[in-house]
Amino acid sequence: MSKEQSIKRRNWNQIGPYLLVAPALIYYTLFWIRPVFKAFMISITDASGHLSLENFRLVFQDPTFIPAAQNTAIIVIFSVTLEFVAAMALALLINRKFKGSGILLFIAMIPMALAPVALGAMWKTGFTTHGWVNSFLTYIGVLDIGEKIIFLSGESNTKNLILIILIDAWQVIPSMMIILLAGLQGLPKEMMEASYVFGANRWTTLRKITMPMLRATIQTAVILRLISALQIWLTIVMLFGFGRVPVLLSRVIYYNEEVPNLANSFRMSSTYSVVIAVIITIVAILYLRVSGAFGRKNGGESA
Amino acid sequence: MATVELKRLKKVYDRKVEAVKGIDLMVRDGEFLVLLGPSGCGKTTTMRMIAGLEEITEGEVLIDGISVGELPPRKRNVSMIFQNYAVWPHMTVFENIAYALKIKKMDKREVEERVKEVANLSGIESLLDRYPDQLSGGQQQRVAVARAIAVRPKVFLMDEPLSNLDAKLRVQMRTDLKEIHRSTGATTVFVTHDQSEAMSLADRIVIMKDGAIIQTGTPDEVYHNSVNRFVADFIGTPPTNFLSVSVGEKEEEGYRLKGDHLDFVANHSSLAGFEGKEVLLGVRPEDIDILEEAPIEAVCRLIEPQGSHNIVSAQIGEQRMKLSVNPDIDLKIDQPFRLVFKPGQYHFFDPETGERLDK
Ligand SMILES: Nc1ncnc2c1ncn2[C@@H]1O[C@H](COP(=O)(O)OP(=O)(O)OP(=O)(O)O)[C@@H](O)[C@H]1O
Ligand SMILES: [Mg+2]
Repeated sequence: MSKEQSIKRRNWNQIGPYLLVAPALIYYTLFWIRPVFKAFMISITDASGHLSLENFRLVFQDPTFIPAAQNTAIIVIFSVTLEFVAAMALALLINRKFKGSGILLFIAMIPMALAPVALGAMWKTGFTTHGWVNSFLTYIGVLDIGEKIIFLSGESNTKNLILIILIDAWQVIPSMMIILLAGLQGLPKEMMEASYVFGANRWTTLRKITMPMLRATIQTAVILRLISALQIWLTIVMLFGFGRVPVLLSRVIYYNEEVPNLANSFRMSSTYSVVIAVIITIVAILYLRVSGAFGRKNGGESA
Repeated sequence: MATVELKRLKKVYDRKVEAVKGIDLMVRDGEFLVLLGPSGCGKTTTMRMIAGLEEITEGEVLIDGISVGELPPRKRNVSMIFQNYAVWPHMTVFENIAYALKIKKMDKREVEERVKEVANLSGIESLLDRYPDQLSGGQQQRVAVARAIAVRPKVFLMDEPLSNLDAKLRVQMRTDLKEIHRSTGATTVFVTHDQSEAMSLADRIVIMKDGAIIQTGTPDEVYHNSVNRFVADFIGTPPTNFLSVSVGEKEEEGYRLKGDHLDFVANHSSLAGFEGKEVLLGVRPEDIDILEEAPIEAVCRLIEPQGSHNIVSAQIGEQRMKLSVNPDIDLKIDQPFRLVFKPGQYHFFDPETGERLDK
């Protein structure tokens, strides 16, 4: 190789990687960083364009902020827990490859194909007093003819939240299950068999071998789920409208779409989204900390 | 101490693949038994049924005379070394070895002592704090061995534990395993498709083919008294040579055997009744002598030096055979020479069934 060539090569080695990531970088700058930055700027300026924390004061003093934050927290905690446990159980079941596990997998995946709007509409028509859920319950004999359960009264917040969590779980479990199933199928089955031979029962094997070896997969599934649960809003708004079960993200939409003409609508919704972004970041980092993603204690799959 | 007995043990996968076809086998107390056979003959399946990792389709597995068919693996008191080691990557070497002991609720100090003891035995005492991905293949293999002996099982099961190691390490681990077996005295079932591994390790060898047992015997028996052509061909490197000969009338000194460039007399009573028929003569490479006045003429085609001896490919008429020859004997490629089969050291096989005639 001539000297000139080797200089050329060195130049390429220095510049090449940057050229290669440039398209992605431009894309992120235009469509992601710029709006995020803009929202952030809006959130820290007042009406006259001066730096100010006024917007944050308004958000935190918004009488709906506390209930929205509470509802979001409850939904996140319970739905992610429920979804993880159910998805894991389902994945373990399907992974055992019994007769009909293929069909079960297929059925389990149906909810994944539905958009949240369709989902909201479906359950809305289902849960109205004369909806199909009541009809179904009557048909299978759980309810007497003429008897109705009023699902969407909105009176009991707990009942509403349970309903939301169940509906959300119903839609999300399949996608989580798929991720976990893929992880499970990547584990050499001798790892579990060795555990059985060396004295463990199924439960011990699950806790001591399967789950630890699946840690990276579980982390991925849970963190994706945590983030999207913190952003839940559409299904809820479809079922209950904006007022009855407020959550954090529905406040962003509320200011943007429902009352777009207030003097500070846009600043409120921008500030809300910044607050949500900060919360999501904190939660994600906390989760990764707790689950040990940072300190290497030898993850099974990475090894 | 323990015995393992298989009674008409059978495994059918998916209602159609008959992987094990009803085998009977007795593994004696303290014995090192090797299951040997070509790929797909059902060795792993047999072993997994003993361990309880595979459901038994028919028949019985008895450990110490007690049928264990209904027991889960953890209640069978066996331990196993897997082909790909199956050491758990998220645990240190120490934790790997201690896993079974902790499940048994063994006292903490005792666990530590036991782990140290077996780590010494397997030569990994300095690696206890490492994770498996920080170990070489051979070291991981040793961890698997240590983990298996730590539980002091009634029965050891090993499924091709050496097949992922390089040639040199394999021979060394072979010696170590034998040593460990001697010091623990545990009943061992060892699976391999490597016949030299089987020969060097086994007290007895069980040769399997297509889910059935073909022959059971000491390494010496299966080598020198192979029951059929399959075993004679499978055991030994190079394997037994087979020559097709026709049996003539009985003469004073025995039967006259004729074939392509072959004409000699053999005194073999097993040939009675085969006059005028074709049979297969099987002779091991080392059971052939090269002598100037020998009756068979051959041409040297290839010489493969092995150090201690040479492997010579010879041509007799249209048939080829391999000889194990002392390097002192001067042979040249394409040169004719004369050879003789050592009396009593060759056998005859039925060309159709492959069975040995003088069984
Ligand atoms: N889970 C399974 N489902 C269906 N057929 C199987 C299954 N496991 C093994 N078999 C079949 O059973 C037969 C015996 O397999 P087995 O694994 O016992 O062979 P093996 O003697 O251990 O071979 P190798 O030396 O290659 O490991 C093979 O024909 C194989 O294809
Ligand atoms: Mg096998």
